[in-house]
Amino acid sequence: MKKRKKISIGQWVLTLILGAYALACFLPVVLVVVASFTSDTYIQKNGFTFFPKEWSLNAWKYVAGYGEQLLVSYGVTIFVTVAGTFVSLVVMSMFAYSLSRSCFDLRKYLAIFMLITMLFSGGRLSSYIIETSVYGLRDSLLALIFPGISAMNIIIMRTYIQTNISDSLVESAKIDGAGEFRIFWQIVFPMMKPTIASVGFMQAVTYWNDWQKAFMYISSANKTPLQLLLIRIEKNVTFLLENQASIPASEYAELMNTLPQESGRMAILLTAIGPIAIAYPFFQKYFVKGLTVGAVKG
Amino acid sequence: MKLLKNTYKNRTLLFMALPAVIIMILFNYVPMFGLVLAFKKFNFAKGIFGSDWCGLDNFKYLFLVGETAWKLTRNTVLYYIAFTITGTVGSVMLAIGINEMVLKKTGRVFQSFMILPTFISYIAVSFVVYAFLKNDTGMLNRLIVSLGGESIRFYQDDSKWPIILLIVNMWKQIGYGSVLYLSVLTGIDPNLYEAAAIDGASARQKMWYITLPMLVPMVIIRTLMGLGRIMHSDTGLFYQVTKNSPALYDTTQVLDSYVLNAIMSSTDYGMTAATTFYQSVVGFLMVVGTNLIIRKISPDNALF
Repeated sequence: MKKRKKISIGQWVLTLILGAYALACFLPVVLVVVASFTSDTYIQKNGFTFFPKEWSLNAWKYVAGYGEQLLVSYGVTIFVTVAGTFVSLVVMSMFAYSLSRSCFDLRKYLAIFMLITMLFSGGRLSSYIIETSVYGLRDSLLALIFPGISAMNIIIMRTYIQTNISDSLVESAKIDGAGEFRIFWQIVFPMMKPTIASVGFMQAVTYWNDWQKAFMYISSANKTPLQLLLIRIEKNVTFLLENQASIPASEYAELMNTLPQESGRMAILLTAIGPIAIAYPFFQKYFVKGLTVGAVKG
Repeated sequence: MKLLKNTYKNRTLLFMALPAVIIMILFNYVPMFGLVLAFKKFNFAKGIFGSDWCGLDNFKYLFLVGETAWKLTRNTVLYYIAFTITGTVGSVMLAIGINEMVLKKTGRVFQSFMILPTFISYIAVSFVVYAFLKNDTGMLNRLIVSLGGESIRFYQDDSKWPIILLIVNMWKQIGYGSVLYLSVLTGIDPNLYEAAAIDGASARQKMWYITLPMLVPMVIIRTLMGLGRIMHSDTGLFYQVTKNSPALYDTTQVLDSYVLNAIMSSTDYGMTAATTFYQSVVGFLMVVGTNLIIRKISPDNALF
């Protein structure tokens, strides 16, 4: 039988400190969960706490009743995340594959072409003006999906192909008569699973959490993703609170009623962060690997 | 000619690279030319390329009138430096701590929790920060009041924000940062520690002479690679978490949030264009400069 390791006092202290920090990372999420089950009158009187004395399900009833806009926003976020991740993974992995093929002389120039985008950028303003006035992407979901490719991720993928998939494998498939396209989809792509998972997960998180592009480009309600919906709600609430004095009391109450209360906002917030908080532990081993691959060789 | 022939032979590969090339042209290269706007008087009807030239007027406004450029640059760079130092030290400490834990499984669970903040959007973070810092019912203010202090109007008081942003940024970054350093630590040859133990090294000496030196290359590379982004900041942190409150601009506004603000309020595009031009050029020089240094130290990690 294995002897149980003796745990020293130093170990206990270390474990306690790290445990406390781990808890600190998690507590804000707990706060949001608790707040979404707290009664609003209690929050208004006492602010948010971890241990409220009055619980309530009103916030979730509100979320269920808020219905349409939340569902639409959920749909938009899911669509943008899925479409964006899919498109960017396909585009990036194909580019990475062509960069990795040593028989392809043009690859040096393509690599430089890509590198320049890492060195120099046109900046936010000129992208914004060109995308809205030249490409007509204002208030279009395409603005949220494109461009979505990052040179860093392409380099990670290329490095992975170069170090893990041998040239001879590709060559032998070629001798057997397979074209590059087929080799890529049937042999190389399946073998890239770990980097696809890690890069794909990071891409998905970026799409899911992106607020800035939506904030700049999207105006109509039926194209509003979750993060932008949260910004809008918060803005309306702040606006009302700031202008409480100048709005007649009855009208103010009516307007306030159209917006979610504190607990309701927390409930909506939870629906926005929930899916990722649930999904990320499953991808952890992949992005740990992906991170190390990317860092070892740029 | 040879290149052309080779390309034709590998036209499938070229075809596979094409979508990425087109996206890069549309979203990276065309906007680069849009930077000429910095030297123009922007007119919506005429567009970027049709607007009239105005020489260096935009830069004159930016650098000579008021202190905008200086203030924005100072905030951007100082926050960048502070974030890099606290982020690196925090990540390394977490990684060493987890690596030293005897209960390996517990350590892994801890790490999973520590990574969580990275995946929470800044919008969500701004809600939580607000719950803590609100004027009357915020958790922190209630704590201060219950301890007999006076409540602080955080969103009006710019002196507290550097420390608030520093804490929020650390909370969000260091757990994820530790993943990389931990992978370096688990890769250290255990024989090194055994040999040191035989030679009579104490735990502290092992830490000081083996663990830390092993981490140094990674710290240097990460820091240098990050330097290219010195003129950029996370707008989520500086625009959303501060609620873009004008009272806080003095200590919290950075180049990126200034530009975003200007775009959203569509004020003077001339000065904004000058700002982005300045940002792009300095950023470019930083990347090229640091790459030269990396190439000297560790050619494997150099970008080009």
